[in-house]
Amino acid sequence: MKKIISIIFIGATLLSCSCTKEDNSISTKTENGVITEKPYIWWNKEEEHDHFIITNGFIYKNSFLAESHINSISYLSLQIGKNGNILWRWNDYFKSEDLSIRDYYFNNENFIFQQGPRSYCINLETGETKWKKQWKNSMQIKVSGIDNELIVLEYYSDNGNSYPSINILNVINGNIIERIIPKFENKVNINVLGELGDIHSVSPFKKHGKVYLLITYNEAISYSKSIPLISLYNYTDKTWVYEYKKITNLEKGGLGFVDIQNDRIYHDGASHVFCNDLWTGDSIWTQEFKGNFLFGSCTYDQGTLYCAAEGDGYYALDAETGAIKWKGERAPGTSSRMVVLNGVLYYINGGDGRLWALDAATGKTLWRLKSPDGYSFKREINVMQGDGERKGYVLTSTWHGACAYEAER
Amino acid sequence: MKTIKLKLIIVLIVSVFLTPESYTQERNVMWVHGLGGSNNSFLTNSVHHQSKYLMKSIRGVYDKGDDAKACSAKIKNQFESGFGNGSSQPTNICISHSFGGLVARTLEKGNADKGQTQNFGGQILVHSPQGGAQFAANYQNGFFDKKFAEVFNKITKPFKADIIDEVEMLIATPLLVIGGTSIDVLTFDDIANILAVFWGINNLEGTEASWLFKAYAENIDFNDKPKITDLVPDSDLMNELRDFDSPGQLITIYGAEERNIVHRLVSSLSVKPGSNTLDIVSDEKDIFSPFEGLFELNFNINRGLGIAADISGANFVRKLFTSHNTPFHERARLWREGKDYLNGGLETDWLILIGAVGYTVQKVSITQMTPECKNKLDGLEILLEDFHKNGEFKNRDDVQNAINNLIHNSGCYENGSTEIEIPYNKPNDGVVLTESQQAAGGILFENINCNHFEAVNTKVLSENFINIFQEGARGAGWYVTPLR
Repeated sequence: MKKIISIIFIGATLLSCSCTKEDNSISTKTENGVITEKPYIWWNKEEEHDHFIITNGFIYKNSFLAESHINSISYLSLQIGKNGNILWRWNDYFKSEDLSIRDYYFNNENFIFQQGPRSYCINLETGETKWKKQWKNSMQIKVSGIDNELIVLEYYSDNGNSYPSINILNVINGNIIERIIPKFENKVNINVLGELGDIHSVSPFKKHGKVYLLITYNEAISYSKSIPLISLYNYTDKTWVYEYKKITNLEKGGLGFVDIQNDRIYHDGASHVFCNDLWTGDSIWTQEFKGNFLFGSCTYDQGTLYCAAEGDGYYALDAETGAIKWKGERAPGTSSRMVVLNGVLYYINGGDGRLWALDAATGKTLWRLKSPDGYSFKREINVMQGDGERKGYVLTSTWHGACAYEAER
Repeated sequence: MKTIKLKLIIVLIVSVFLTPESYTQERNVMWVHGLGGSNNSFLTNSVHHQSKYLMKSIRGVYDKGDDAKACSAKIKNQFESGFGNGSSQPTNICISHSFGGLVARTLEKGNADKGQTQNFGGQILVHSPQGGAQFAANYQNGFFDKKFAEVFNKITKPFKADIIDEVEMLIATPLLVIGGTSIDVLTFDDIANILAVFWGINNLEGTEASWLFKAYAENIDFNDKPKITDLVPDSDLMNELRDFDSPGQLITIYGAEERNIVHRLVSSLSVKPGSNTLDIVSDEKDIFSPFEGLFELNFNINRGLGIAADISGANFVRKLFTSHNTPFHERARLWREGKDYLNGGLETDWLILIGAVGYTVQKVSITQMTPECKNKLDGLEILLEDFHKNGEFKNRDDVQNAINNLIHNSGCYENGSTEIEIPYNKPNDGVVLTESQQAAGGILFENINCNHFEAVNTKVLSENFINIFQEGARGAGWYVTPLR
């Protein structure tokens, strides 16, 4: 029997951790020309571990939406980008987890979001509920709209229909105005939700005084596989420009980012980035990558698509041809979505939890910032143009609250 | 007639209540814990997600002492008794942490081998060592014990040095008291005993620190030998699973930490798993700082006493009578070494233990003396040495000049190359290499800065699940699960 040393450490603080220490007095630090530490403009820190703030990809009159907390109650708050001050708080929700807002539509002062079978419309000026309602079934979290019409997507076919529909709602009161179902041919195969297909996104746009809806959707082949399709609907004339166009023969389904630029549709899915003609739906180019795009996705800016292929790398593609312009410094992990401001690309990298900035023209790494809480940034990022005082604002969140840095340009 | 009517009514009532509405179709999910875990593991996430999404959760629990195959039989049984007819739906998901991922894939392979219907349509593996874990191999070959003893001895060296003279020690180190004797080799039982004593003496029950020890007991159970055997990278189980392609969907969530791995690991283990999903609480900067402060304090005290003893002549007297050399200065040096080890050496040793230190071999060019000149130089140096030994200094200057001429003759040098090994750290989650976590393939997601033990309980994982279950931008993935 070996003898054991018994150790007595007098002092109960031996293993206690002191958290969220920060030092904002440090000036900018660089490693090989890359900025790794710089002072934040503000850090709206919340001390309790269980509480945090999420920034959302939304700017309203130089303010952004976040989740904040008082005495363990969660609030949606509108905060000033310049200093982080809170303008109003809102907690008129059915469920507190509905504040994890991942998509939204806003028009004038109306901010609308959707979680499960619950929809909310909030007045951005006052922070008061304009309307809220509960549906029979869970709806998709993704919403869109045009002018005073809101678009909500069904998960489950309803009202005796065989396929899930696109619900057009009145932004003012949330009442359903119209239902649209794109063309499906499948009558047999069901997906994981027990449906014959699902609608992935609706992107409304105006052209020559008419409103069009670009609909991307999937038809089930099996519970786990589906064919991605697009249809273009003339909402003004109630006619289909084209229907049931196959984006690809890949059977993975699950499209991601959709963006319409210069009469072209850009979207990602199944480790690919696709470009289709807006008015015919025909394929223009496809680019394949090693990684997926579930977290990072793609961002369009001035003729370039910036794509974060998870576990692979960050790419800039010529939007015209799909050719790779540059591949950024390899960094492990899945990324936040990327945002561009004045020729600089910002994102939170998964592997190191740092805030990265790349020169959008060359892919050169400019920042690899450490989080002020010593831990990591969350996968939330937003940017705001400068106001004369600052070049611009990069808004993000640590695990202990939202914070802002002055943009590179 | 009445009986028939009654039966019809019953059938009608039953059919009305039992006919599932399409939108209420819920996914059945099993959450499987890791090595040494229990049904408390994954507690937060399973409950949290069940209430949030249209899914029903059940926890898979297996015992210590069983290998992966026996464990897989147990969780299969639990799942089938839990969900009955629903236990073979293709929408079912198995979510497993660490060793649980090996159990889950073993279940899947067992079904395939026997031609049985799969229980799950797919798997979500969380920080699971699908390519094995080097620490298991190191444990089996005894390297882990040896290294762990080295680590312990390095940290306790200054404590043990202070035992030399308890009176001096009590004066020099007022913050600590040490009893007992030193040890040569520690087993994990020993470590557990030490931790238990530490826990009891410091009355840590109910404090945050107490969770470190509970987590140690729950998560690092090296007595569970069948599982350790399975975890060795080239074990029979690993070879079987390597050649097995999962028939269902596969999502792999992995961790890849880059810095302060030991600090983060200890920090995460000292956090109480609560009823709510944990926020990120690991603090890689400060977890050892009180400990380091103790070492620093003792360093300063010993150094101060050393200086005082130098001035008073006490050290001189001590050396005269005991042959011990200035103990205060020596102990100060040891305390400093202990602190430096906590800062950096411990990290390196841990990385070696988990197999995360690799080496790249690089060829570098060097300038070296030609073998001919080297031989001449060696001969001359021996001659010069002999002169010194024998006291004969005849021609000594000639020899020295000849040496100098050789050293400064550019013709005596030639360009060559040699290979050097440059160490690097392989990405890991503090316990398992990232490449091992990714070995089963599937769609890969990373938990931002999330170490092995944090994974089961933190918001980092929850955020990943949000993206997986209901990412708004994705429509038709097998993983889509609407919110309630």
